[in-house]
Amino acid sequence: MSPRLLALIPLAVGINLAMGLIVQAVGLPIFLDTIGTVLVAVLAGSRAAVVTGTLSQTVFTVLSGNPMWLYFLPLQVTVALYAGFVASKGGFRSLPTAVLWGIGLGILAATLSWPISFHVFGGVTSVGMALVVTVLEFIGAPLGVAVYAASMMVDITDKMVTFIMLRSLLVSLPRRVVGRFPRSAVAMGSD
Amino acid sequence: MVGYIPGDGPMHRTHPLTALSIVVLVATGAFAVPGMWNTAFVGVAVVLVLVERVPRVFKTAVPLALPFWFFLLLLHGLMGDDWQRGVILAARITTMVFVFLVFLASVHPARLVEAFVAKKAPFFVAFLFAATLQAVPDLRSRAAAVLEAQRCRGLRAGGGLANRVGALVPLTVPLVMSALAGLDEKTVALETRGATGGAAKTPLNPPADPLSSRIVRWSSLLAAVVLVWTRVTLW
Repeated sequence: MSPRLLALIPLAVGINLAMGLIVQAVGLPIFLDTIGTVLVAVLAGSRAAVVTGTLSQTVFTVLSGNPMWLYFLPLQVTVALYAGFVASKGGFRSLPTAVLWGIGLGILAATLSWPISFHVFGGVTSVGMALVVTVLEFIGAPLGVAVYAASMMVDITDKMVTFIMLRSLLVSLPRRVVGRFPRSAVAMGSD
Repeated sequence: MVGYIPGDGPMHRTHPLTALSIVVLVATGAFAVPGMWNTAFVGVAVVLVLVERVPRVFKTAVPLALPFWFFLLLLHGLMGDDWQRGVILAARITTMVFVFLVFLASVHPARLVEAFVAKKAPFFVAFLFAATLQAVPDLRSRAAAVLEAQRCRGLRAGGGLANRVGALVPLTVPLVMSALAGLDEKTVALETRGATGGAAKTPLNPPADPLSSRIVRWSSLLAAVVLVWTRVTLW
């Protein structure tokens, strides 16, 4: 692993974990805890992003003291691989394309996370999600469907906003950084 | 949040990887043992807290576990008429939370990194873990500073959904840009110190790993594998 990646990955994990403060401040029911992972995927490719996602989930588990987050590690890996693919296809060339790719990731993430939420944790992963699941089950949805619907609502919004943020970041990226990470130009649609 | 708590319990004294293997065994037991028998592992986890003399773990673990009991009993018991499933799931999660927090309270992160380096784990694994633990508080304080600065400039983070999403941009972009600004300096520092030279690194203070510790470690891991195998084939 190159020194540049060794320097970049801890910063990206720090960004993933620091986003909690910002999300709390704006009062949105999302996480944005994969922005750093997507950033590394765009700047350095999927392999580095997988390392970032794995490390991020591990450190978050250690710092929160809640081991259940480790079960969602496959999600971070999926986000890393997907974002690397999107970047290689120039998926951040415009805001609408970034939004569409973000919605795609949201659907994929919800589909992957609901079996973990449902089978391992009985549908209870956080207080907010549990409240949504309880309301949906109360109005007659079977528990499995309620968990999937709650995951869809949260994940689609979360990943769509993540991709919008990434597009904003790439537009503002200084030329010096683009020069260091030529993949970011590909993600913006220029070869 | 529980971090390392100085002490002299068995998990404090033993090799960090042995402590980790004990955690793996108890957590695996809570998942592998069928029916209500798995609730016994909550007791095992509580005994670990008492033996390690880290009662502060209760202050973090109980508030973490209680919402799970509430919602799992509500969803599976009251609304789903399957109280037993609710209790089994809640017991699993409670055991996991307790043993994991005991591990965090008993093993200092630096000692864990030293243990990995001593076992010839790749340098980048140990470095990334240690560097990330240092970077997280730094990035969090930067995020707080950006938040305050933008509020001083008149940023309003409330209102409708579009307004809130719009407020994310002036908060996120400066945070990420400030993180990327110091990247070149860090890269040069790592290059000049031969971080990617490929030579094996020598741990400064490797934790002792006597035969008794190794026996406990491998026995715990073997027992965990047997539990999983038994669960898959017999129960």
